[in-house]
Amino acid sequence: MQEQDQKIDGNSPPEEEESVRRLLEMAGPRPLIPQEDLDAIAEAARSAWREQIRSGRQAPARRPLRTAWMALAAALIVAVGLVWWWVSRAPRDAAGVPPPTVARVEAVTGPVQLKTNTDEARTITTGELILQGAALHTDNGKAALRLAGGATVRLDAESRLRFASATVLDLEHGALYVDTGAGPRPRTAIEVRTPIGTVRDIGTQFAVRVADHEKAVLSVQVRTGAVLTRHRGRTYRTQAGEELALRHDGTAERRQIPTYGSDWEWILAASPGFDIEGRSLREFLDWVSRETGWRVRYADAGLADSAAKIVLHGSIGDLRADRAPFAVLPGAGLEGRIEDGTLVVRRH
Amino acid sequence: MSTWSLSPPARLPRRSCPRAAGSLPWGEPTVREADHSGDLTLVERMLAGDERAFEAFAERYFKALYRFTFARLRGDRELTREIVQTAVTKALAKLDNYRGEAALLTWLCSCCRNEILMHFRHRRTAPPAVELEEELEPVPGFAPQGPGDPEAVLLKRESARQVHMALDGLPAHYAQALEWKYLDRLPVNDIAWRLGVRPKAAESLLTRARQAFRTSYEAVQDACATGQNTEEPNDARTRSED
Repeated sequence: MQEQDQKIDGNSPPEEEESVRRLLEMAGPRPLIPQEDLDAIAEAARSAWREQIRSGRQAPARRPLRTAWMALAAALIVAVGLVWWWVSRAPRDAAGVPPPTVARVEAVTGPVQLKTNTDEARTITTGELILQGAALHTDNGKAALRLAGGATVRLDAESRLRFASATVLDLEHGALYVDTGAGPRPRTAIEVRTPIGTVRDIGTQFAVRVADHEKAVLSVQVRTGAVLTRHRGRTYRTQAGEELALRHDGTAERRQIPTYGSDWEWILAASPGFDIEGRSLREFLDWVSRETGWRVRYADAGLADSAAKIVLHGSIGDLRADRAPFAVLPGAGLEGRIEDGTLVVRRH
Repeated sequence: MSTWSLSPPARLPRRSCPRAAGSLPWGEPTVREADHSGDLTLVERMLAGDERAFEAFAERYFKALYRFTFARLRGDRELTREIVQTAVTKALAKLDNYRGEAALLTWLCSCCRNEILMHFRHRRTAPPAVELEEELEPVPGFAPQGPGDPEAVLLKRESARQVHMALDGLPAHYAQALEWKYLDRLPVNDIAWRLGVRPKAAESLLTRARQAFRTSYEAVQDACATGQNTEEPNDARTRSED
């Protein structure tokens, strides 16, 4: 593996790579910047900038006149369309500017209520856009969402989640699962704020549960990567395969947990599914692995190579990720078996 | 106890700049005209009212400005937020003055530096002192020479801060990939998996990330160095007291 790494990461001159490595090692991890401070700065700056643009104080003097007229005409056309769209669809804040879109609903199971600053609560549907400041409340339902930065989120039943921004989520109660690595593009860190503490990811899959029962009131389970949790002025780092439990009295417990199995069951039930049409077998099994927490092992190297070339067709319908392989693999002349958290794929 | 005072804006001796003393990791740069056309384009798009340009501006600079200011205010979070907000708001009001003669980060850091000065002049108070023994945490790989060498510790911390600012200025996935690679020591295959791309694509991304880091780091060094010798008040100095 080490040899392979050196080989495939060899595009840069070795001395440049070495210097970057030394600098980063010297500096260590970046101290966290409070997200609410960044949000406050961005909000103040955004308001000031919009006001200036509105008042026309900053005419782009360096632009050629013709370009300016063309830009103005284009802007007018776009503005008319946007105004029509906003008037017809979007709620507005006090200043008349709609809040930004922070997430999209990918799947809903059961009743899930959406509450915005201006609207009465209503039931959400798949494909709906969530604006900043809105809150979701699940009774018996579950929801899967994709945040604007690409991370995916699952919300368990009996939960309430408010979207402070596309990267800051307020979990008032219930459970939330975050997968920050499955999106088409990487993104900035996700912060989950709860009444007990704040959880911040470092590129990972993790679940946060806020509960009032007598045991732990805040539980953080990490499936891959690591997360930082702040509670009463202390910062805890939780690694993959660990659960951190924090109580109101400030005590903390850490224990080892499996990264698959019953603890993660509800996440599968809230999954938006996977469209296999035209996708390779490897892509499909990567999705299975990410959803279930299973490792995938091919019985031989040739099979691993073939997995990237086998193209799937059709649909798995509503099959969950922990069941779909056993329907798909036989069609490719393969079979799968679970061995201690590993999906072993072999030829028939 | 040896106590050091660091007046805001922080001024380190010139040798604190890693570019001095032959310590620039990739060698001394050749003399060339600085190209800030990308910054100028971003500013022009913002002046034209482009929302995405504003978001890119916020994403690229606000964290670095926060870190820059936070360090010079002795970790005063409330004041840092206030200073950065004010400085950025004022900078936006004067955005059409930006001509691309310096990097945008340098220009913005100067705004923060001036705002810090204005703040302390207005309050007619002395800048906060920095208690090294309280403030300085060990920097990995840079153990201080000994209790008598607090300056060395300070310089290493400043270098570390500049690296962090340079990472802040990168697209988030570049910074994340570099940290996975060099801090978490993840294999490229794992990085590729986390990024949702193939290993070849991750390899290319890491190469671009390193190049972007180099550019960003040089810009940060310029931003931190500019004003150390020219914009500070006469009483801003680093001194040692018993």
